[in-house]
Amino acid sequence: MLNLKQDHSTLVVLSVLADGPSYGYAITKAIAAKSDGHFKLTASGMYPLLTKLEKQGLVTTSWEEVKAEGADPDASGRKRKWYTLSPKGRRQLDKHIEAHKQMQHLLDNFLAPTATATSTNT
Amino acid sequence: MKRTRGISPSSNRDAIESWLDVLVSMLNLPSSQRDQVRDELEDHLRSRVDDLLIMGKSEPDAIQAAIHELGETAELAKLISSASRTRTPFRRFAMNATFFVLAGSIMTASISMMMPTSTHNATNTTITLSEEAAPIATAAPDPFEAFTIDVRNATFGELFDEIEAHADRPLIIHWDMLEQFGFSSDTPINIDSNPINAELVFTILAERTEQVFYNSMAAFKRPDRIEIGNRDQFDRRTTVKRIYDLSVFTQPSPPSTSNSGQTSSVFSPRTQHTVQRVMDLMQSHVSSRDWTPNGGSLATSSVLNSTLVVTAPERMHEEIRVLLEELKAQHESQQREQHTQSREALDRIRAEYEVAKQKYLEKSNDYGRIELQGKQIEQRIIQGELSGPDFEKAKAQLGDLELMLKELRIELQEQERRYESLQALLISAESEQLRAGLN
Repeated sequence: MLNLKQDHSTLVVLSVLADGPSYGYAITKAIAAKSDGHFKLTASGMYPLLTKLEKQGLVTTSWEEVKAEGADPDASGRKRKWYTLSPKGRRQLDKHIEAHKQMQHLLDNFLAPTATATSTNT
Repeated sequence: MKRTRGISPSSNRDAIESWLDVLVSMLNLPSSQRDQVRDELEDHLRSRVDDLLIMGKSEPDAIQAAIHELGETAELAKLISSASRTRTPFRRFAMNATFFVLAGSIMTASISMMMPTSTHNATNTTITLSEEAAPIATAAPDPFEAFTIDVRNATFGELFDEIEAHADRPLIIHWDMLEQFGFSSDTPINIDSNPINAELVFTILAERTEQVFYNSMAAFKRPDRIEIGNRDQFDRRTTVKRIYDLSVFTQPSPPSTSNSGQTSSVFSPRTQHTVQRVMDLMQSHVSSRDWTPNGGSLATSSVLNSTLVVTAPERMHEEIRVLLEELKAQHESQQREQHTQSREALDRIRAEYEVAKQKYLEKSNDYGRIELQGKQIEQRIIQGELSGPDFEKAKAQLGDLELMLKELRIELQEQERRYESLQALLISAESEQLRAGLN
């Protein structure tokens, strides 16, 4: 299991939100599911990050009241904070993706000869 | 309205509440934000517990695991507080802008005091160069402002004669100084204007000399006389060394102990940085080009620990005093705000600590009482005091008590963790407060 670093965390969280609004716990589950359990974003990494994204205007937030199954209809439920990718967040994500692609392309240029050499040797 | 806690509310669910209490008490945020963080993390914990219950964990284990997965409470609280307080680029800009507006206003004030060339508004311009002149200027009308002069065909000699005629003090003209600018008694003033205020005439002339010689014709007003000459020479005459205490801006490091066991006071890099920053501000905003590091020759400064030694003309010392007073007022206001915040945080932690301590003691007592009760029943069973339905009832009671003890053990562990964590936090906060008080 890999703990995500700050830059990657932003990319990963924004990309999860690109699929639709979500909340803290669901985001951690989505990250684990999308990475086949290889990526883990801890609470101490995720909640401060979500706060920063909100302050930067990359996500918008709203609250929902959640009730357990079979709960008293008159009782108040717990509160859930939903995060939605903002247009600014979408642009930021596109930039991240573009930068990632460029980096990937550059790295491929370095790795290609090695890969060729390896295949020649075998 | 009561709040639904999840799938199966029970007393163990209070462990989440307790943990949230501890976390929230550690958040250095306004109460509205603390409530939001609490709600969000409660949702996280309860969602996780629900998942773990579905996966077959027992409720206490699920709660313990969910809390454990969130990591170190203090660290999480610190990171969330820090992220919530982080300034956005705009707020950083706004704060810097405020500072520069302040610094700018100080600079503007300095310029208007030292460079009459900067404005042609005769009523607002002051060419006072020494602090001694100030009381006179307010007590009596400035002789420069008191009259107008027809300058079209006037010479310097005539201008000064006019000024002397209106002045309440003797006028001493240092022609040797003025000759350095090429001015003599019969040099025409050469200003193409209707009769204008004498101070404005002086200001225009000072501006001309400033532009050509980087050194201005100046009036040096003293209580017993007015001298007219050049600014540099007046400056050199009033150059004095003054020491400024900057300790109010600095926080000395705690005394360090060397290998020999001797204690020495060490000034931290932060202190040095702060003193350097104040010195940079001073050299940028007080008559900047007169400082030797800026290529000038009038003023020098050096730093010794948190003391600033400045050799400069009196007029610059006056501006330095104004600048330092402004900076000091701003710094003290920030310090007061920080102290209030840390005092409030300390009070919160102390209150939480007292509650946690009380709860821990209560749980310990409960545990001891139930344990004793169980032992008494056990004793009666062993000694054969009970038989028939009484024996069965006692055995069932013993089973219930064991279950209660198991639950209490978990609660006790939680309370102990919270109590110890708050105790450590309280000691740390109190030491910090004490150190701040000593400083």
